[in-house]
Amino acid sequence: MTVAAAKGKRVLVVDDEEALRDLLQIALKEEGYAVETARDGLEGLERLQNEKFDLVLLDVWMPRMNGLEVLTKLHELPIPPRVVVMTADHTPETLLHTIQQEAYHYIGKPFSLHSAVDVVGRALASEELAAIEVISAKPEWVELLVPCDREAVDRIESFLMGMKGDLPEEVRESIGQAFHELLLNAVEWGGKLDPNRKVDIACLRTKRMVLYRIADPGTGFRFDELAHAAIAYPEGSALDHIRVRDEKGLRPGGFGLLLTRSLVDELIYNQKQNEVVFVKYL
Amino acid sequence: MALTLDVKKAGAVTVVGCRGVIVYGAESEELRARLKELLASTHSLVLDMAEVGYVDSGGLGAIVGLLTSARAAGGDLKLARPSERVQHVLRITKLLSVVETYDTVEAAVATYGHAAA
Repeated sequence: MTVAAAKGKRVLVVDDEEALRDLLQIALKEEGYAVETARDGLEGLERLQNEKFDLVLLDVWMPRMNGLEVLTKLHELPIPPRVVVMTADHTPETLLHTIQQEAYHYIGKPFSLHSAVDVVGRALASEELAAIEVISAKPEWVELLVPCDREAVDRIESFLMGMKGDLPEEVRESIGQAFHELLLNAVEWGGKLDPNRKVDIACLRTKRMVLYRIADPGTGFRFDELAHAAIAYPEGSALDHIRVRDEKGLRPGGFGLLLTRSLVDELIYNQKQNEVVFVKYL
Repeated sequence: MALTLDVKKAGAVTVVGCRGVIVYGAESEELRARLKELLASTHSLVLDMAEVGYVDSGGLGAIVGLLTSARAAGGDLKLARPSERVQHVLRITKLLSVVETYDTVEAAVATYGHAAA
């Protein structure tokens, strides 16, 4: 968001860590936002009940009232602000609660000021959001219905990858990138970027593996019809599909399946190929 | 995280410092639009990737599309200082044989054979 666009937007930072509150206030003010702070959840809720804010940066574990309670009570406000949750608590219970309570985004602590400012800009620039529906909130079996919308991909990634905070970085990055590519395919090709259509995502976690299932609302595809994808070509033909995409007027890309296949241990499509499962062994 | 671009000249070579992520959506669109603009006046480009944390399929597509445009115009696009993660992505998509990568910006600039400023 530009400084001009940010002007007049009111942001409340709620955190019991004074140094972080001050840093965020300075960084966001430099971007043009009007920024206020609160020291804990109770003070934050009182401010929100008495003044209008466009966005809240909300810590989770604070004295007097925690961020999850604040998040729940925000629904009682006539026009609730957008909420970005910032926490070092990566447990599935906490993150699933924030999704259920319609938080816009999650930022894992510690984070860079640059990334926080970026998320605030995106949250305030975004239009009305289609809700993410929680079907199952068991930590070992998470299932969500996600609107076919580019922005929803970023939002859901922030929450689901946050839950993988206990995995080695390399494994987390591989899962994250594979999930990103397959979800983008699902919302773009299967759901035609129509936010009224939904992608069904399930994430199962056992001691020895992480399994994702992504089911899109489309009619599926065939591998022999993928001339616009890098996976359809033998080694040494890295640019052939780019020419096909150019001729078809498709956006640049086509590396998603090739990438995903190399990042996970199992990649299985159903017969129609509108549903895919990937597994990463731990 | 959004993408910010910082354009500098190194002699006849244009060095574009990238900071953030290069992914499908606003970020890869921004990169394409800015570099297409630059390609109108220069065909020797270096992308400084030191501060790029992540590139997805759409980002790779944007980079490769720009590379083919630069080469079609008689120039090239080279990558400097890609992170290990970005190099891994280039490796598994077989793009390391297509895109030239260098450990430093100076090394990438020097391959054009122009005098650096």
